[in-house]
Amino acid sequence: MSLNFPITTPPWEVLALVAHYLDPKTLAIASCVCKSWFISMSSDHLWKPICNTHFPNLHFTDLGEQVRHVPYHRLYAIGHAAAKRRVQTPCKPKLSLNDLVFSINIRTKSSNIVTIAKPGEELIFDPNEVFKFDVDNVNYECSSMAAALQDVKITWNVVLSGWKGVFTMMNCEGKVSFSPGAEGWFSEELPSPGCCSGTVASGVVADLTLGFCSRRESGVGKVKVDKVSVGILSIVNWRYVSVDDGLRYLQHFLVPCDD
Amino acid sequence: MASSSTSVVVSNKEKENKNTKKVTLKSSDGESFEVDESVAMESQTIKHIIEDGCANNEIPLPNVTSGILSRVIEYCKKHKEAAGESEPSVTSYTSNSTTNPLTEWDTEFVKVDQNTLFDLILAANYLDIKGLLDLTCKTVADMMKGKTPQEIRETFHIKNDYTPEEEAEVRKENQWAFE
Repeated sequence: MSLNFPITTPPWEVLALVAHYLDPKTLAIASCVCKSWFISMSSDHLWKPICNTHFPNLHFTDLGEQVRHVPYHRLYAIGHAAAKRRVQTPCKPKLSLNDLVFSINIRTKSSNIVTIAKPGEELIFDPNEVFKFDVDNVNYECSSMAAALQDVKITWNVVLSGWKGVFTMMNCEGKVSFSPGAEGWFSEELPSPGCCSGTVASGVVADLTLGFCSRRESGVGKVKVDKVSVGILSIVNWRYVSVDDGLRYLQHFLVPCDD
Repeated sequence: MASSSTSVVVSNKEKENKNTKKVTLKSSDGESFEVDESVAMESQTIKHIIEDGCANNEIPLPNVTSGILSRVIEYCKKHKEAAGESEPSVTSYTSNSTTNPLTEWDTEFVKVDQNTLFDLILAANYLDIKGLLDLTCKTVADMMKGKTPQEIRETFHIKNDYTPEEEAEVRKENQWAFE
């Protein structure tokens, strides 16, 4: 029987012996070579000790009958994937700050105090730092009000550049004292991303700080808004989330999921 | 007629005795090889035959051809010499090089065509010579490591008898190994 390739293929007994000298990865690849190699390279006899060594946590003996039908090479494959997923680092965000515009509006009953539309690229940030940005050059001036606290309404929207999408970070009411040096802090719970079940809270809030200039810098009878800071704060550890985590959060609401 | 060969120097006497005792191994194709018993006993299989007293004069080895048998004997001789001559302390600690002299010899020994290599594996298994089995199997194993299935097929001249669907299926099962 002549064949059009040299007949030097390893006899199965040789394969069976050599298989004991192969690491799991090579065994798995070798089982894709051809059908007879599959039989030699994926036997339980070979894979059982490998599985027990690498994944002693996958000891299923107490499940009895059902488990004996799972080949050990399959058990190894799922063990390997499971171990890998546990240490997986999240992917790079698809969004960058350059894709976003922060729109902030703070108003009293009678007037707008702050209206800002700040493109993300103008925000100063360090990728290793946190998702918290000071929006400077606000410079809004208004009459000082000697009375205690004033009602304000705060809206913070994040717009995907080109008006492709919008996400409302904060839309709330609060009180702040309109006097020099005063500072107001506002927060609102952020929704859980749609892909994960809504029963788990998101654990993050939108955070905004409004600060007025000191008496020296203000005019007579006036206050100046000194700064507005916005950020995403985790209420689990009371720290601002990283820039990447913030972008990954926003991505759920601004970028369509790949199906 | 100095028959009073009492053991004055034990090791030398033992060595002399061993040197004179020989066995004959007969290959499947009828060729006979005379070797020192100590060399032949590198093979656990032959060792059991001799110890069980079934040796007579010739030990037939129907599974091993003369070509392979002569190589196996060469291996056993070389390794027996090396083990006998050197004391453990000398080989292990005085040599600064990471390879011991036999590693190089072994590497040359397995530079043979695939068929011969496979026959050596089978012979080492049948004759139960651990060192030779390790050496030959590791050589073949190294020929498979780090290769894709197609490269392995080319190395060993194997025909792929999977249908494209079957191949995709088995690759998927083993996806983790390809990453």
